[in-house]
Amino acid sequence: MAGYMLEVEGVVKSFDGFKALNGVNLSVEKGEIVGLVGPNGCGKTTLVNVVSGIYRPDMGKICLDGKDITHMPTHKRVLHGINRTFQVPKPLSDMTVEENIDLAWHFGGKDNLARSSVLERTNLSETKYKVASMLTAAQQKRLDLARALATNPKVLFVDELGAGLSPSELSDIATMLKEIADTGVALVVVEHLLGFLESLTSRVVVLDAGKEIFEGRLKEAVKDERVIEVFLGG
Amino acid sequence: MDRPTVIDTVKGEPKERQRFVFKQLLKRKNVVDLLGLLIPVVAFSFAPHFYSNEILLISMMIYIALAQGVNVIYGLTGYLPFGYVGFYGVGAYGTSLAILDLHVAPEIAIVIGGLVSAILALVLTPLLKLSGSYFAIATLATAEALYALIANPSLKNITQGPYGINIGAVYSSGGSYVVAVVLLGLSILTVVVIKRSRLGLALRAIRNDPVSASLSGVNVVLERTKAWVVAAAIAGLAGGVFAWTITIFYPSAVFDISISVFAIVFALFGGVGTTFGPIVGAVVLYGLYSYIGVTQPQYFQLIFGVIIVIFVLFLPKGVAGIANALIRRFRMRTIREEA
Repeated sequence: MAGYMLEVEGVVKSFDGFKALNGVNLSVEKGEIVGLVGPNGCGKTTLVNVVSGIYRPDMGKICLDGKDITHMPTHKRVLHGINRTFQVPKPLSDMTVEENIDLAWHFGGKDNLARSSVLERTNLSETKYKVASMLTAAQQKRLDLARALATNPKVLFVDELGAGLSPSELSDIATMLKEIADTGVALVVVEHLLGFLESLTSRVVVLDAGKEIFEGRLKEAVKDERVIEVFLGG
Repeated sequence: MDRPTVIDTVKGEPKERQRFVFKQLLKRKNVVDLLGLLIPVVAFSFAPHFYSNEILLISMMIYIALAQGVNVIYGLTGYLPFGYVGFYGVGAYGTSLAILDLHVAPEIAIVIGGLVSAILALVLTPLLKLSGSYFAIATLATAEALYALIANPSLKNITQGPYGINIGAVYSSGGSYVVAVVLLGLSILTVVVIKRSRLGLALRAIRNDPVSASLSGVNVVLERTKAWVVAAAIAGLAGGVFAWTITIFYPSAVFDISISVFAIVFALFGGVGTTFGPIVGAVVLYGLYSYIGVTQPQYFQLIFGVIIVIFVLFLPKGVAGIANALIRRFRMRTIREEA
């Protein structure tokens, strides 16, 4: 299994007896874009939360670049190279865009290249001095992405970045994500929009009831009987 | 939809104008902080020439320092410390016992008092796992526990128990006044420095959203602990200054919960998160308290209670917030007229 940037092995996470994750596995290579799909409540966001340290797993192992990060607090994972965006963006809303980025750069990154280019790469240069709460929803999503990029991540989880965006915004985001992956960042894209994923990912992982049920190309996934059953309810 | 900001309303080349406005804001910030430090220190340095009640002036300085301590822990991290007086009392006792048992100079004893409070804060860091009213109540209980411990008659040989402290031998009205001015300057300087440092940036971020802050690489627990320890040290130093000023006191005098309440009300009234706010709050309200509150304390407690409720609910930015809003409105108008 050597060579994977991120390896999630048999992770279990329960909430009051409900197993949100039931032994899920996920491996991502450097510079790869992997799609994470599944019906609502299948554990996609829980997986992102467990990997980013918001929740601690009950069982299983998470390795980043060969290093066990299963029991690390969030900020240490960030320093080791994990980051994420949120379905509902979570900017530091009283602070300006520049301060948001500065904070992430100071505490999580310390990479000159990343800091100066982050705003350009996420198309936020114009809004540099604006307070984050004044941004549009699409801009806030990009700010989430910019904040994550400023910490110079190795693995980046993008949680439903596309939801609610217009087609032209979507294609901008797709280009942006491809450029990020080209710099060697491993991307895991959680998304419902299959067309968006098709244009972006080399493979997808389909989750159901907290476990992966399919792994491969999206084209094949939509032909897979179990995947069809899960999505259409058999 | 973008709501227009001050920057949007400025005409001209957007980038140049943005930079211009930004620079102006920075300058204003510098001036405000400098004045916030200099005015009180100079005013209190010369005040005894015009007003003879030095005890009252020292009390006011102590309350400014305590209000700035509340500013650090509440204004910058959002934790409301109702038991803040615990650190004050421990500082007063640490200072007094250092004078009595270690026979050090009062100035050094006060530093020891501050250190003891800071160490106590480190021991009490698990309290920071609580949030909101749970934290407020837990710190209150802790302060009461400390009081019960120090005032315990069976500790008579160590703390003098309920019989109180007497360090009358080192009394020096001039000396304690100078130390109080130093405390005043130090507490304001601390707030200014923290606000401008990486710590200040991190604390603001944590107050905004702890999860996003930690995803920016901020060690939320560590940064909160720093603010907590600094605030405790300020209270400890303030307690030490009080001890040296008053020299004879019962434990109930330095563990009085109304000291916490006063410090919080002063900070809230003036405006937490600002340099000037707690100073204005302490001077105005403590002045008012000394003027009429001493004769009719029952009304004052009622008024203070109402002030806490109103300011927490409706005016979290205090008088300074109102002033800032007025200044901003005025500036916007002049910018519009210029354009």
